Amino acid sequence: MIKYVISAIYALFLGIILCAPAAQADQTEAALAPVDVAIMAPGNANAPITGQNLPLYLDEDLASKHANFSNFAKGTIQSLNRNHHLSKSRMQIVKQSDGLYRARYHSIDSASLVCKVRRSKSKAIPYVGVLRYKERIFEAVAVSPEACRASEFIPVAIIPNRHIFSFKKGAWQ
Amino acid sequence: MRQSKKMILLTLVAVMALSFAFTTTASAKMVKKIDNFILFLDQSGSMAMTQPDTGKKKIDLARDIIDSMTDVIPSLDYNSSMFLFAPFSAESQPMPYSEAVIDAAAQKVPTDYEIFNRTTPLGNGLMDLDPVIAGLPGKTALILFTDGDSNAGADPIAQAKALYSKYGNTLCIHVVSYADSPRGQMIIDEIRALSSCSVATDGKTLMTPGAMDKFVGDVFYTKAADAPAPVVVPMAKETITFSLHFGFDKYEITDEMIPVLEQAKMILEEESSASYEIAGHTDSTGAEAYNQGLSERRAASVTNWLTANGVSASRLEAKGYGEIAPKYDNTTKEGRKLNRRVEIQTK
Repeated sequence: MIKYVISAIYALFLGIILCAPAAQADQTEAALAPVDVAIMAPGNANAPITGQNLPLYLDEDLASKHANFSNFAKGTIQSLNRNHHLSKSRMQIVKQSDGLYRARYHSIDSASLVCKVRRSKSKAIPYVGVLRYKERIFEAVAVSPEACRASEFIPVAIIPNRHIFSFKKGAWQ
Repeated sequence: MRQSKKMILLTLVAVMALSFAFTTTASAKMVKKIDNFILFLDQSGSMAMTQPDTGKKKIDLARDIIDSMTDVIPSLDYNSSMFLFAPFSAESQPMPYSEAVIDAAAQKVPTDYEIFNRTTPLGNGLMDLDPVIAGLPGKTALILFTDGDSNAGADPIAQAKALYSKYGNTLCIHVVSYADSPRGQMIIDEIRALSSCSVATDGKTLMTPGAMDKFVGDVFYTKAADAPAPVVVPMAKETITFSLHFGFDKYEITDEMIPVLEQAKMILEEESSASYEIAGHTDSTGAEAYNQGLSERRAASVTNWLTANGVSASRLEAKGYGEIAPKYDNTTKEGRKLNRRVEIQTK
């Protein structure tokens, strides 16, 4: 009797496994009803495009300056990380009232960089660049400063930043 | 009796094997950030060109990335879809997410096509996607795989802006960049800069260990603690930083400072109701009292310029911190230069 009950349970499991893909296929087929897509409207520019009012996506000169700024930005982020007074190499470790130690450091997520360049009306400063990035604060708690340093740090806050630079005499500052 | 025990053991082994088979089952600690995601792949002529450092076509690389991405997207009841542009087509209509369905759709994406005369109407592609986004409930992540080299049709930056105006914070556009031209990269960055929600990455980075897990984590879900409330990493208020390169002991605004101040003013105008602290900082060179006074005068100069140029005085507060709030290491020349700064923070 027990043998038959166990065999029945086993057969039920196998049945569920074999039927699942079929059920999914039914669901997929039902969901494949086409979506109406709007017909693209023609462009509606009221003002002709000239050299003086080129939209960004057609401005090759600005694109070139953007590339130049992006290279500058990568180096700048390394400098900001290196010099931050709470960088990983200068992490702050404090003893808490419960006797545990809390370690904290800041690090800029280099993958979060977004660069933007705009022309200015100034002859001395023909371009400005805006560098957007996320500064993350990491923390670890442990029984000693050494244990903190060896711990896995978790992000506890994100500080969004925008840093504005100017282009003067061929260099970003 | 011995046979019964064997049957029980076999059943237990079968149950364990089944539980290990579901490799992308959501962990109990993942909380979804979005309800829907759209994979939007550029199939223009430039995407069929070979990347010199990999020897592979950009569109082949994008397909590989999609395959890797679906391996780590957790099962959290997302709706998914896949569309192409240049020309626009639907590879997988919006439906409950299935790794197998998206992988199959990605495999069907053609990669052997003529490059010549196949333009990149990225702006038109975004317009065509509008009704798809409109039909999706909740929050949507639009993950765009492109080299950004838009050279036909509508302005892609304006179209992305229009989508954000229409959908607000229910839409976020993330771009996986395959840009190999300055203009392509600029267009991609301009689209990313439209919203702080956008997670920036590129095809090459996503192939490095850990990068895909991080990207999917940043876009798709947050990790919850064992306690009922999810632990969300809080976003602090934004900091805007610039150096006006004041001369020694100087605090007046000069013509050369105006382009930077104009850019700062534009940022403040993004949130017309927000209030800001304009903070002056110095490095640690010189007497503390002197630095305090100088930073106050410089903060006041910046505040006065902003007020004179249209920012309401009631929204701004000038404050000098002197050398007491360094952000960088004052023991290095580089650090001291970085500490000589103006910061604008939302109050």
